[in-house]
Amino acid sequence: MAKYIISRFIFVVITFFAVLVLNLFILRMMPGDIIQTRIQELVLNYGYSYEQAYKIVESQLGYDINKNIFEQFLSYILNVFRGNLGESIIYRIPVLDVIMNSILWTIYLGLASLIFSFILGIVLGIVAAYNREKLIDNIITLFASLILCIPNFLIGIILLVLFGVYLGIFPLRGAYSIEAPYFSLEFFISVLKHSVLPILSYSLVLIGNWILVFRASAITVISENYILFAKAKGLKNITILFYYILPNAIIPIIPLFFISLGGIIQGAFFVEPIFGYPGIGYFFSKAITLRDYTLIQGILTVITLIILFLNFLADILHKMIDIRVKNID
Amino acid sequence: MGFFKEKKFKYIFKPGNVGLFIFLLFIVMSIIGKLLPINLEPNYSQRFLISLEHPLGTDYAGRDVFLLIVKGSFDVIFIALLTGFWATLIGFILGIISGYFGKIIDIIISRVIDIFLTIPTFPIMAILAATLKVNDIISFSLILAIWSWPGLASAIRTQTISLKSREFVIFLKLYNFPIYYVIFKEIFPLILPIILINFINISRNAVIASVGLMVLGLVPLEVTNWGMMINLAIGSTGAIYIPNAWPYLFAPIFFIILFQISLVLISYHLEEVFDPRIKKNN
Repeated sequence: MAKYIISRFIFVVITFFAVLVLNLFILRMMPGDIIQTRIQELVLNYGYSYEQAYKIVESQLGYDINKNIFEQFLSYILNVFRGNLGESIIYRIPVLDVIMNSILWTIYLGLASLIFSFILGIVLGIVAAYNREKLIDNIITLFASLILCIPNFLIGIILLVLFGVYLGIFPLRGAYSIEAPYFSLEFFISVLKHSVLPILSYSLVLIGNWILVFRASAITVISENYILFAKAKGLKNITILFYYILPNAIIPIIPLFFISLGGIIQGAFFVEPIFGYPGIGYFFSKAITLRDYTLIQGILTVITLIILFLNFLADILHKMIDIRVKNID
Repeated sequence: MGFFKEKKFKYIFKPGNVGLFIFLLFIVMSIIGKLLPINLEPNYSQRFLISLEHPLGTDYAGRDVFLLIVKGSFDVIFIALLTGFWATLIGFILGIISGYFGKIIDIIISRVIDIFLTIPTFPIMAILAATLKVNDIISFSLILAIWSWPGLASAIRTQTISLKSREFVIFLKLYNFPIYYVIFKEIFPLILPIILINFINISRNAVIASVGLMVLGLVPLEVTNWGMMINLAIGSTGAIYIPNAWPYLFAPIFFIILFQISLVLISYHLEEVFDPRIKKNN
């Protein structure tokens, strides 16, 4: 087990370094000299002298742009490990602050939609598995397969027009109402109201996914001999469902829970801008349109770290849970 | 004979065939849109109008939405298929090399596959597409493909490793058959199903990614492109607030979903045909 954890950890470190290298090269690959353009902009628009502008850009990037690429890379990596991701070119505050202020919204949306879809998916999945190849199973499976075809941001747009514009039940943009004072009851209600549509647009696709995964998992459990034995003992259907099928069918799909959280955080890049939801995906698309390179790099770094961590957790859990993986080193 | 006829009849209406039929309709539509000259002159007096002449309404410049859809279908469909093609090519070459030659090459390539599988691909696609100022479908599809191949490569790698140790391949090796003969005549036909299914799934994901990037406005292609239509509808033209303009927003969404469904049906069908375990259950 220790050997496995160490090998996974080495993999995480290597991947993280690969992304850091990519991060630095993204800045080099841009057409035109980004850094010089930025210095010119500061000189022309804000009236700084060239030296001052140069100092500002250098402090924003966090490394000396006149040194060679290896030294730049070294100081960039050292900065990242010190938690210094540079300063946002557009907002002119530390990148880490922008990320810290937005990541909680993204995680809130992600966890809420995961839990919501997980519960619904499990209920529908087990109903489908229990009535295998009957009408209700066909309907649920068809629904799941169809909903999986629709990308979540398109579901978001449909929900936005239907519930936001046409019915006017839910607000169109933002994460909370500005009028309500912070941390009052109204504030929390407005937060809930603003998050309903984004959560639904993530969840609907995920529900389809969980239904199919859980149905398959439950079908394998149902065909086991101990279920047959439980039935032969004359146990009630409900008891069999909750004490025999449910726990055994959930266990193998727990690692997937973490991987889907990573998937949601990636999906945030498409969904959050549609709802103007101030999470990390919203700021990322803003940063790309405004060419805020330090913010782009910072968000990519943090997102990669989160996803690597979640995958690492999923791998280890998978190994702890599944007896078949245990023997493979 | 009646038995055969009945079976044939059932076979025609299988979901896979329906998927293939819709897919072919899309291909025909995209070729028509590309080849026929479609009049898309702006006519601002007919902005956001639904009439018998324009059953799907008109856009912000008075152009017919259905004609826009037909005209734009080529880009969406061919970005998807080209991405599938490039990614399959990369995945096939790396997967075969890694699986067939093994040893240090395999270790390096499979590490690279693992890294590409883990890093967040959507943000990187977005950065590349936006900063390289992509505006033609070939380079756009290449950018999407660079991040879509690892799943296929890893599947081909494992298949090749298991095929490599089978008797017929060992036999051919013993008799010094050239490598390309072994790979293309013996291994390729056996991994073809995996390649086909992955090709379709990669293309399907490419539709999502390409449309998503365009909806965010990161890849400025022509206004007829479906993703651009959605982007303009939810953004600068304010079409989501005008009920008459909703067909302009929902038509591209509907066609994207239909295209997705057709690809999913085809890939389910292929899985069923090629996987003997699923076949037995039915």
